[in-house]
Amino acid sequence: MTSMKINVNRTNTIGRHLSKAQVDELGRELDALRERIRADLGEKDVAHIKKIIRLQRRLEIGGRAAIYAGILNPLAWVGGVAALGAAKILDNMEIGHNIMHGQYDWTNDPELRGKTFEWDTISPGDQWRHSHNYMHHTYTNIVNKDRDVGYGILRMADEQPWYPGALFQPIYAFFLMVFFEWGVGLHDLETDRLMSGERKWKDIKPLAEAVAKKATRQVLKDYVMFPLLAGPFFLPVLLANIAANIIRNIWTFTIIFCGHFTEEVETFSEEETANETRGEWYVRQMLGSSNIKGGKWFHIMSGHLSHQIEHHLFPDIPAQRYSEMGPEVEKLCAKYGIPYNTGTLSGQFATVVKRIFRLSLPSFGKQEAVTA
Amino acid sequence: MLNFNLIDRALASPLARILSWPHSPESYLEFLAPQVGGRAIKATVKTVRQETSRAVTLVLEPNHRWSGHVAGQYVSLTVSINGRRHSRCFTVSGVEDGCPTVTIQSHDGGVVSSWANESVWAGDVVEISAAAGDFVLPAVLPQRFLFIAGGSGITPIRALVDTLTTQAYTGRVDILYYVPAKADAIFLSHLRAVTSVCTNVQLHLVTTREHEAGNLKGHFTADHLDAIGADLASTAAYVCGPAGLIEAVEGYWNEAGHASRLTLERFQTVQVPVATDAEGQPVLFADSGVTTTAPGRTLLETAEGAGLNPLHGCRQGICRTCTCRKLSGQVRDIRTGEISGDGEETIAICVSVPVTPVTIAL
Repeated sequence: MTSMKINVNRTNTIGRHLSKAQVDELGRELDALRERIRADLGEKDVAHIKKIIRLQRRLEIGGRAAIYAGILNPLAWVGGVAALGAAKILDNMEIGHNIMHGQYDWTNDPELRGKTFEWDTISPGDQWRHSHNYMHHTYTNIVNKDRDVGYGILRMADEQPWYPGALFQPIYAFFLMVFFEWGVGLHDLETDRLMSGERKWKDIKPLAEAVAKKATRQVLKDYVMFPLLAGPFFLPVLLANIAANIIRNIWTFTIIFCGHFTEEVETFSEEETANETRGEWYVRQMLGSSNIKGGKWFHIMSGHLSHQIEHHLFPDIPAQRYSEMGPEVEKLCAKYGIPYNTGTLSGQFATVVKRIFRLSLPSFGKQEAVTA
Repeated sequence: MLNFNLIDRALASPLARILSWPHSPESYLEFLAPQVGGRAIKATVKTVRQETSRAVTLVLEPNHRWSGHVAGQYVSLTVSINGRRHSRCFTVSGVEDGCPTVTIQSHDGGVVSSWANESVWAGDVVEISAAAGDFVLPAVLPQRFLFIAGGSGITPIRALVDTLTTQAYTGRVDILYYVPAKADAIFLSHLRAVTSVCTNVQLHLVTTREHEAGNLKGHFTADHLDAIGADLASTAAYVCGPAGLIEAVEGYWNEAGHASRLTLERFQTVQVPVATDAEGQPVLFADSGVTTTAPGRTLLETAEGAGLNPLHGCRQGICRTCTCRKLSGQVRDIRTGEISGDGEETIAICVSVPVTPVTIAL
C-alpha cells in the first residue's frame, strides 16, 4: 500500500471569506473565552473527574466480579461485560484522553498529571501524547502531517491519491473498528511508512519495544491472569474480557470518526497552513471538527468528544466545561459565518460511513490539481 | 477491625499490580474507601483551635500509615484549596489523644497559612508526610538548654520543652521568645503554666515592636543573653524562627566558638517575590545541575541555549509535550501575561518566561 504523500496546488486560505483582521478578532474572542473559563477552574472540576474515576473503578470491579458470577449465570456475564466495557470506555475517554491532555495539571495532583498518566489500552501513554496531543492537535486535518487523516490505512480525503486497494477500505475500516485499540497502539510506529521504506526500523525500534511492553501487560492482565483465576472456567472470563475490549473499540472508533470524518469536515494542505496565525489555527480547528448532539451522560461516555469542536479549540480545558462553552462557540461561528458542524450520532456516523465508501472509489472531478 | 497494614502489603504484591495495571492497586481501594486507600497518610482535622488572632492549631487524626514522630520534627502538610494542591512544612507542635498537632501562623500572601486561619473546618481531610527533621533533643541530655524562638518558631521549641518536662528533666531551661507584641506570643498561657510548675524552666518574652516595662525589648543582641545569664559553653542551644534571627544567633555562636552546640531550624516566611519583567532571571535546571540566565526568553529556549534538549512539540502551548515541574519561582505565560504562583507546579516551558529566579526539574 502506498504511503499517503501528495502534492496539492491549493491557493485559498483558511476562513476564506474572512479578512485577516476578522480572523484575528475571532482569535481574540476565543482567547478571552478560554481565559474566562480557566480563571473559573476550581473544586468542582476536581470533584467531577474524581467522581468519574470513582465510577470507573466501581464499574470495573463490579464488572469483573459479575463476569466471574457469569460462569454460572449468563445474565451476570452479559451485565459484567457491559459494565467492564463501560469502565474501559470511561478510562480511555473521559479520564485518560482528557487527563493526558494536561487538562488537570493545574491541580498539582500527581495522580492527574498529563505527562505521566497511563491508560487501560494497548497504546503507551508517551506515544499517544506524541501522536495525538502534539501531531494531531497542532496539525489537525493537514493532509500529510496529521496522520489521523486515515491512520495510514484508510483514504479519508479527496487529496489522498486513490489506489486499487482502496476499493476494499470498508473492510479495512470494519477491522480497524473491531481491533481499534491495536490500531491506536501501533499508530505512532507509522507502519505504512515503515513498509514503504520512508521510515527505518532502527528509528522505531524503541517505540516498538515500548508498544510490545505495554501490549504484553494488557494481554497478560485481560487474557491470561483474570481467566486463570477462574481455573477450569477460564473460557467465559477470557471471552468476556475480549468482548469488553471490543465494545470499547467499537464505541471509541465511532465517536472518534464522527469527530473529523463527517461529510462537511474540511482537510487542508501544508501550503495553505504555512505561517498560520493563532486566529487561523482556531478557524482550522473549527472547520476540521464536528460535534454530536446528546444528553449529559452521552457527553460523559464520549469523553466529551461529542464536543470535538470545543475540544480542538481548547484541548487543555477540562472537558466537562465544553458543554457550557459550546453555545458561545456556536454564536461566534454564526457571527463570523463559519459552519458549526453538529448532528445526531446516527446522522453523523452515517455520513462517516458514506465518506468511507465514497473515497474507496476514485474522486473523479473532485480532486484538486495534482502536481508531480 | 480490618488490618490495614496487611491490606497495604497485599496491594503491593505483583499479582495485585498486574490485575490493576496500568493503575496502582492502591488507587482502586482509594476510590472505594478514601481514608484507607491510596498511598498517602491522610488525616482528618479533628479540632481547630485559635491560639492568637493570627495563629491556629489543627489537631490531626491520621490514618493507619502514620508512624509517629520525635519531638521537634516536622511534617509536610498537603491541602486542597479550590481544587489545587499545596504543600508546606509545619512542625508537629504536640500530640493530643494520639493525634499530632500543627500550629500555623498566617502571613500576608500565604495561601496555606491563610486557608488554615480562615477556611479550615473540623472534618476536612488533609495529607501529611512522614515526620522528618533533626531539630530534636540529643540522646544524652546536657546540663542546660537555651531555646531561642522567633514568632512561629516557638512551635518546635514548645514540643522540645514539653518533652523535657514530661521526662522530668531537672537541668536549667531558658526560653528566649521574640515576638512583635505580647498578643502575638503563641502558646503563652501554656508556657507560663509550664514555668509555674517546673521551676527549672524560665520564659523570657522579648517584644520587638511594642515595649512593656520590665520586659526585654528589640531584636536579638548579646545583651539579651547576658540579661538571662546564658552560658554558651555549658548549654545546648536551639534557635528557630525567621532568617534574620537565625543569622544573628548563628553569627554570634560562631564568633564565640560554640557553633557545635547550636542546632537551628530555618522557618522561611515564604517571600512572595515581587514579580517584575526584569531581564536575565537566573534559572536553575535542578536535574542537570545547570544554572543560566534567561534574558526574556522562554524557558524552553533558555534550556536549549544551555545545551539541554528537553522534550517539546508544538512550541506554542497547545500540545503540552514540554511540560515539567517548576520547583520554585514565578513565571509569566507569554500568551496571556498571567504570572504564576511561586510554589511547585507543572508548567509548559515553551510559553513560560521567568520573572523571578526559578528552579526547574530538568
